Amino acid sequence: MQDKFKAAFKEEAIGLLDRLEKYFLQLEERPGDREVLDECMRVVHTIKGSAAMFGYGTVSRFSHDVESVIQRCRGGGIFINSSLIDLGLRTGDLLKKLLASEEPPPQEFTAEARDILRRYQTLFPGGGAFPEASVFQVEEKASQGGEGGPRAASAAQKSTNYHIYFKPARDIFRSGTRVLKLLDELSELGNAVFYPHVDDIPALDVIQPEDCYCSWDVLLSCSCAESDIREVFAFVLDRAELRIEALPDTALERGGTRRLGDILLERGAVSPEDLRRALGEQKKLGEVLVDRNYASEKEVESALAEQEFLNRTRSAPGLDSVRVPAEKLDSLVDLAAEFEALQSRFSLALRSAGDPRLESLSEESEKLVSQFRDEALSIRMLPIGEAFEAYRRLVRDLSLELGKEIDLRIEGGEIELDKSIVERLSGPLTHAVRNAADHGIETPAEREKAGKARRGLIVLSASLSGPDVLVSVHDDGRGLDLDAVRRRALELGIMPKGQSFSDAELYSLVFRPGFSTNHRVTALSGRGYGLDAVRREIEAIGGQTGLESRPGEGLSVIMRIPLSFSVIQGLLVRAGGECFILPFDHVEGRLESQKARGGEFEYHGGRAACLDLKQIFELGEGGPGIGEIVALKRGDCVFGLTVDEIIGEKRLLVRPLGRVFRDAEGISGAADMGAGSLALLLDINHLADLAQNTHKPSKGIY
Amino acid sequence: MAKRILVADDSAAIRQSISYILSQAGYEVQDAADGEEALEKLSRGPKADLVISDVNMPRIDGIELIRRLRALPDYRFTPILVLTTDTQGSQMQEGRRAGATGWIIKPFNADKLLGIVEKVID
Amino acid sequence: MSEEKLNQRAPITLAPQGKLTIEKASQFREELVSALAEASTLLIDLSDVEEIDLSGVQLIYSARRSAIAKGKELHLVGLAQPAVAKRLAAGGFLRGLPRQASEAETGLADF
Repeated sequence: MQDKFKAAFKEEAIGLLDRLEKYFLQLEERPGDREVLDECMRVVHTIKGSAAMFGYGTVSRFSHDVESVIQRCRGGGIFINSSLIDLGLRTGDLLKKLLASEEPPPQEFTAEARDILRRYQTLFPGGGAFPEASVFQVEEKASQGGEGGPRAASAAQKSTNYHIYFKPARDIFRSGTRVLKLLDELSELGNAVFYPHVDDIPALDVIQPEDCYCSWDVLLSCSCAESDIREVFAFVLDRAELRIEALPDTALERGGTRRLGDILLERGAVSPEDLRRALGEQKKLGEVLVDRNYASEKEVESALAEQEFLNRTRSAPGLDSVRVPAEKLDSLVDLAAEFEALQSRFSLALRSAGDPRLESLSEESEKLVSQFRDEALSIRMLPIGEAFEAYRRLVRDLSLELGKEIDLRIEGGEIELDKSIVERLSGPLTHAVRNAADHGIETPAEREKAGKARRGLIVLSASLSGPDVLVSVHDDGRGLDLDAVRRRALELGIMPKGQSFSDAELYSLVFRPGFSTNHRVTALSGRGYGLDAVRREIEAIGGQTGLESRPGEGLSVIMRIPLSFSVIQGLLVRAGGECFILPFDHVEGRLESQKARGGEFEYHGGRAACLDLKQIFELGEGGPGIGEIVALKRGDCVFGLTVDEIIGEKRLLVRPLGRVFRDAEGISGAADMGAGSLALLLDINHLADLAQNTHKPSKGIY
Repeated sequence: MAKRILVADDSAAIRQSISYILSQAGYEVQDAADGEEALEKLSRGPKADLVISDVNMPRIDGIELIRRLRALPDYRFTPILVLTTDTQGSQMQEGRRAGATGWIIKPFNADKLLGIVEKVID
Repeated sequence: MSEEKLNQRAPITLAPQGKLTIEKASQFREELVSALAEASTLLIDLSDVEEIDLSGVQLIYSARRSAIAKGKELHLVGLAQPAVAKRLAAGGFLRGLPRQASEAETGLADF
């Protein structure tokens, strides 16, 4: 029972610790930011308050100490530098580890806690009254011999079989006891099989409806002690006959208990565990969301003040989303898929029946089922930015480790992908980021000598291109080593001896725009860049990898991943009677009053190319009077697109077109707008290329 | 629909802290300072799913409260918990004889309280 | 349950609603008594029961006992709701999750 809350608390606390890490990193950028410091305080305070109530004594005590530290920082006069932030990050990590372990925690954790607190102490000038770290007390208790608590002592690892006989008194209901609930509690101790005796239940004319006539024989297999079982029956010990005996392993075969053995075989197939799984027991979302912060008897004076404090915390951003266990999502998606499969069979069967009314109903049903499946899938979508954000920490740590200065920039983070894809990207991304930091970006000294800025830059970006998503890791470091390329080309016999390729030729040999999978690129991947691992992992999810580089200027590792679907924020426009979608993060603005002239339009003091959507897709001529211009941007290139009407912004689930249409230029996918109509997602890259190639205005904005 | 719990105790501190813990956990809580107020609220207001009562209270004490509750048609089978400091037994025994479902021993923490509430409430 | 027997006299279905718990126990007993008096075959449909406790379960067994004594038939029909199935399983009364009407009965222990 308490495990129910404990797991929910643990989930909440981990979520809070993720936020705390973000705050620490923010604090590093802006040490003077009091608000962030206050937020840190709130998080730690919240965790401290709840932890003890759910059996996390060490977490509670340690949080208490950390709270004092943050309090000191708020008092001012403390220089918030990297060392302090480092400690903060270590603290968060340790708290997570403590949450994942049982009480009392392993010795190394308490040692780590003490180490962290000692270091905090050295960072505070003038010593002063630093609260005696309460985490020390835990150590002492532990050394007093034995584990704390009666339950811990009885936590035998071995599993024991018990036979329990339970016969409640006839009038047990009159004390408010719920017998079936009690048995349910018993079954939670382990694996249990219940055998009810119903022979004493009299016929209707005799029975006293408010009396209890049943008794049970129970076989329980658990790793608990007899006292744990007795604990379940604590309130009814004097209102029932209770016999508990531990069974030796062979007891079930002997004659005396043979009947129970039979029953075990018969009914053993369904344990309460199986039933629960089959029922798909719902965890109340309310329990997950409720912010539980309790006052012990001693703190009751400040209970109301604390409640007010919590109300403020509760209104902090980020609490309007819900943490749902991944298996729930997976089972929902599976259900949706099964549903869809069933629906297809249904449709097929109905089609052969030849009843037009049934057929149209079936069509409607098909649409609904697809919609349902789309919604279910879209719940599994994660903005890729979330995965990207996790790399801030890695980049920071690598910078320190390697003695370099590296910034991280994130682009296109709003693009949502199925969570399984996002998860599988983490390996390749980590690889690529490490490579960029390690081999790509030079030390600050080297960079200054090369005339670059001291701080290097790594850019994680995602964009849609055709039916795929492009994820790239770009660094502005030294790029690919051409000598290495040359040597390798020689080794492999690609460059015959005597002939020497120029730099440009080497470069073009290796780097084609696009995604070559031929041997030359593969060979280079083995040159200490570790990128062949990236290639393998991306190819495993059906994608392709490629490199783009300019020696001395940087390297981009590009991963092209095919999408089954994606959720994007789009701008809906109409042209020639058709609906189109423009990816919203590429939309710069709309110009209602302007009309393109000579394929150009005015934009921010210059002229830029303007395309006509109807023309591109040959949807007929537009009159001179109608149309609006949407200003779009790809990288540094700004261009315009004339449409008939701008409908508005919408969040849409986009799927790629079928294989037949995969080569269709300019279209990345389509979204179902309902009522059988589709909106086509325009490929920004294609449009931008068109704009650049077909028009070269006098004063361009590129 | 949230479950309803009535807490009866003459100590405001206890009433407040128990109410706080229970309402944070999602229960709807009512309280009363003694047995008489508790009976009043229970016989007039909406039905409670659980009653938690201290033993020592002025006017009508906990044991008497339980006896009278069990005589009311609506509360014959309702779970009732007594709050007791006495682990030895006389208070607990009396409570059980009067028809209490179980007990909570003081001092207790939120964890313990919620555990026992969960154990008996339907 | 043979077709023949069922057709002899139309079976009466008792479909209790909501909670089959101890507060309603006496009332449920009355309903069972009068239903059994009328029918030669009584069907109890648990589909609309949201909550059940031991008193409710006992009455169903009790009704079965009475039916047999009077030479009548009593069967359970309908799908138990998850909460109900859970409680039945907790007491060891249910062998598995009833999926079809006929299973609700055969799943009940010693019925």
